[in-house]
Formats: sequence, C-alpha cells, structure tokens
Amino acid sequence: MLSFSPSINRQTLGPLHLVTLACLIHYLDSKGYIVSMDTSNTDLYEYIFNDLDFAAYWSGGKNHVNANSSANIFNLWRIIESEKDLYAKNVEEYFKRKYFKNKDLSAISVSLVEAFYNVFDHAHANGNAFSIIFYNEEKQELSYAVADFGIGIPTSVKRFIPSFKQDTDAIIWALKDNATVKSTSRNKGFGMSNILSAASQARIISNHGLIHKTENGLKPYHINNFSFPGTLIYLTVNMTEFEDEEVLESFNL
Amino acid sequence: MATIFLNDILKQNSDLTIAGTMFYDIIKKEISNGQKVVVDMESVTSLPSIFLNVSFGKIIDEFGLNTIRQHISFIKITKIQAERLQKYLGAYSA
Repeated sequence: MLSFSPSINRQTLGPLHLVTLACLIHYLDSKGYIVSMDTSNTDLYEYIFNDLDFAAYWSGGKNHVNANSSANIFNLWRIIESEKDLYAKNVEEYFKRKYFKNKDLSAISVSLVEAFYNVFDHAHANGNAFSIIFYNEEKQELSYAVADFGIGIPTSVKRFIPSFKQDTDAIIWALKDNATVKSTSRNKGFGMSNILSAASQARIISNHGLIHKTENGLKPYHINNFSFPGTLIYLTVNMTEFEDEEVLESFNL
Repeated sequence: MATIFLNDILKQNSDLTIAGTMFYDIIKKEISNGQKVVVDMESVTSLPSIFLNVSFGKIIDEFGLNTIRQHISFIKITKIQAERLQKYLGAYSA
C-alpha cells in the first residue's frame, strides 16, 4: 500500500517524483506484489489515480494514456523498445500543435531520443523505465524526467573504466563528448551531452551520484546514505530561448 | 549527382540505427562511384547521434571528413540542423 503524507500534494509532485514512483510500482508489480494506494490523501489519490490514470499502466496493461484533466501534462510513457522513436515524435508534434507552432523544437526531440536509446543501450532496465513531461505555461518552461531502474551510469562506466572511485566522477565523464563505454557500435559518446543540450537546468541522479547542471556548469554531489537503483534524468527547458524554424534552401558542410 | 530524400528513409524504418545504416549504404555507393549526393531534408525533424554515428560517422571512419565535404550537400535543411551537423562532424573528427 502506497501512503503519502498529508503535506504532499499535486503541486509538490514533479516529473522526477512521478517517474520514480512509476518505476517503484513497476518493480513491486514485477515481484508479484499487488500495489494499491491509500485514499486518505484525497487530492493526491484523485491526481495519480484518476487524472494521471496510473492504474491503466499496470492493471490496464497500457504503455501510454492521456491525462484526463491536466492538459499541460504529456502523461507517463512506458519506454519500450518498439516505441522509443515514436515518443519523441509525438512529444514534438504535441507541443508544436498546442503551444509553439513555428518554433524549432528539434533539440527537445533529440534529447528525448538520446535518453530513450540510452535506456536500451546501457541501462539493462528490463522494461522498468518511464518518462513524463510537464509544461508550465506561465513560466514558459518545459520540464521532463526519464527514469529507469537499471544498473545506473556509474556501474556501466566502472565496468569499462574500473579506476573510477566516485560515482559523481563516472557520471561527469559520461557527459563529455566522445566518452563511450562502447556498448554498441551505434554509440560514440555523444548521447549524454545531447540529452542535456536543450536544458537550462538538469539533474542526473544515478547510484550514489547527483550532478546538477546550471548556467554556471556542472556541480557534483555525493549521496552517502542513498543509492538510486538506476538513472533519473530531470531537465527544465526555457522555451522562450527556442528560435523560430528557419529553412535554408541549400547548405554545404 | 543523386538526390536522397532522407525523410523517405526515416519513414520506412522506425529504428534509427536501421535507417542510418540504409542511408550510409546509399551514400557509400554514390561516393564510391565518384558521384555527388544532395540530401533533401524536407520534413526531417531531428538528427540524433544514434542516426549520425551509423551514417556520417561511419563514412568519416572509412573515407575521411574531406570526402563528406566534397561529396555531400543539403537542401531544405533547417538552420538548427545545419548547425548541429557541423558541430557533430567537428566533434566526431576531433
């Protein structure tokens, strides 16, 4: 039974909390537990159970359902191999149609595709991976989270370079261009930097490492008493910085 | 000179690795025959590294960056895509 403190409400739950919750539910479900939600926090129960329709993903067997009343949310998406490319296209089309008709949103699409391929190429998450996107119309700020309960970036990197001691160092290394653990021939080490390229702020939490990206650079935090079982990437994107789409008739490299 | 409609390749293959490999095969054939290639980018939305690594990256590995510059040009490409391609080729060759 999942119980939430009365102090938690829908305004305090962001994308990073919801994808982590989804991964936790998926984990418990895969172990044979029947997951239910305490109804004493009425607001949260209404939000998660009715608006975001979380039950549809497990008892309903769905990979994606629309939010019932929150129009600003591109709801939870289960990351599965056959739909990893479809998701980014749907997100880009959704936001172009709804909010940003003439803007070039390709950086968001690239970021999501890279994040999803990362899950399949590195995470070993056995299908336990989710994404969700919020748009704050007033602030013109997009925020999205991708989480998996796989092995985590530090574990993956340390298998390739065992000399890394700190998880934070391994994550920062993975963020550099050309840094690759060579897990597949299509990986050349550009994925992680592309994921973050659109972000005005980002947090990457994996195993004992937390990296916070701001306009001042990357700040590492070692988490002593907690290890995230996989990788959680949370980005915020300032949509006012996106340019109008401009098509060049011809271009030489 | 051959014109390649990249969006047709992407529409045929939902997996970017397969699409990128198909694109690579076509470019390689044209370059090997001494032909120039024009890539029509109409309706192409994004160019993730997974696609670029198995197409342009592989061409750079086999023929070098200058060959790409001499043989490949683009039409109907967005300004962001053009900038992204230039950045990618620079980083890949570094």
